[in-house]
Amino acid sequence: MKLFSSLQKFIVTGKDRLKLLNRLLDKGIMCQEIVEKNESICFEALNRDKKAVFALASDLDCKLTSDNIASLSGVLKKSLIHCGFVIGLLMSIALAFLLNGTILQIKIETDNEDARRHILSVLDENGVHILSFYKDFDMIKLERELKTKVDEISWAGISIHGSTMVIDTLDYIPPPESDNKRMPCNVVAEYDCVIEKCEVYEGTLSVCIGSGVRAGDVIISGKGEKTITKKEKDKVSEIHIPTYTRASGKVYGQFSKTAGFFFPYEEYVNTYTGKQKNVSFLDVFDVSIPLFYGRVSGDYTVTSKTRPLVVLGKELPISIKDVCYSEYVSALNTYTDKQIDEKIDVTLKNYEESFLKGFEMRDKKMNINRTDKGVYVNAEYTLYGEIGAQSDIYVKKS
Amino acid sequence: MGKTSRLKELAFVSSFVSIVDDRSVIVENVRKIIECNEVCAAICANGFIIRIWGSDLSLSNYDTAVIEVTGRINSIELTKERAEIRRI
Repeated sequence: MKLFSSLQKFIVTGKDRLKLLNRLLDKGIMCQEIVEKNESICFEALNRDKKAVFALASDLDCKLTSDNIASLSGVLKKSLIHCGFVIGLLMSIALAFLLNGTILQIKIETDNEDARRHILSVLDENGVHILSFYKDFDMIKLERELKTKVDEISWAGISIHGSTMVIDTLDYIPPPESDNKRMPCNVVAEYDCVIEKCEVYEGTLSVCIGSGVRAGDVIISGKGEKTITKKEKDKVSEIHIPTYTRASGKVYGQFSKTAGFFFPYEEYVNTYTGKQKNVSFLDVFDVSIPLFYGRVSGDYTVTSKTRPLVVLGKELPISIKDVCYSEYVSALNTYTDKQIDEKIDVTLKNYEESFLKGFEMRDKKMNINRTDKGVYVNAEYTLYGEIGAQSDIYVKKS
Repeated sequence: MGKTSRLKELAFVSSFVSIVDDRSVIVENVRKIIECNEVCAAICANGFIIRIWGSDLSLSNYDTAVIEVTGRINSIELTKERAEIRRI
């Protein structure tokens, strides 16, 4: 098949076949492969000259027939009828070219959902997400970012397989608790509670399981006693020597904790107006010289940024301080009962997450007192958890 | 050189024959094709008949008055044009 040719094959028979050939020559119509065989002349000419050839042969005593020659351009022309296929093929080629080097999937090899979320947020901070070009990123720098910012993993490795970014991780295994102090100590109760469970690693348990203790009472004692038998002239005497050790253990107990909150119906809240004023100061040693006219008055929050002058790598005590004043107004906000209830729920939830993390909440009692000025909330929690803390013993030197 | 031939030379009506190995002959300033088959191709140019003998011959024309004969060329003859051939 002749590539990129659009030729027609002509066969001319008859008395005036040579005349036609000469007419084609005179007109400058390109012909090739002109061969005379068995009283007929075969030649090939361009498709676009087909009409001209037939026109020249019209008044001659000859018979002219033509036939298409298979070519790539002919196939392409036929395929244009089914243009959807051609367009689809071109679009696929264009997409393959465009998506080459693009991240289409991020695969994180970890079972820890928290680690997965943190890794995705760190990647997002660095601009790595689906449809970004992986060649724009420094993988080693990304790996370092993941190792430092994601606490749940101890190691991360990034590799690219086609258009998938694979992140291998190793879970962080916290080191076992160790105590390097050598000072003797007791384990004392942190809260008034009832002891339910105790694991003694070192020291002597001073209270019974099930007994109530006050905050500060010794639960595991680090003080001990050693008896030495001494023989003196047929007399045997016992000497008791106090010993000290660093008591350690886990003590679990049930205790109660109370938290009180007040939610006023009316309160002044600072609201930013959106108005900002940016000014600059020239700082020379400790002196700030304003580089603007006028005074800034009103209620503003201030943020500043200092740009020191650097000469030959050394910072001079001369700098430009850019200060941004953001105006706010104090507005009196009034809350409805419904809004107060929502605030109560949010505040209690935040309190529990921040201060009661690590304890099992066995009971919760809420006392809500509504007054004219606001709502008083008293929450009493019954908690269970570890209540022992180490308290050093200071031994007098004898 | 006579005045006629000098005029012909200035008017660029002379025919030029270029032979490439034994596979191609290009003839410029062709007037007409007299014969073209696989064994012999006869072309009339500037008062001469150029006969090209060989095997598997085929002609191609790429421009007005330029013909290329390709194939296995054995010999090329030049003969003076006779009056009756002009009628073709």
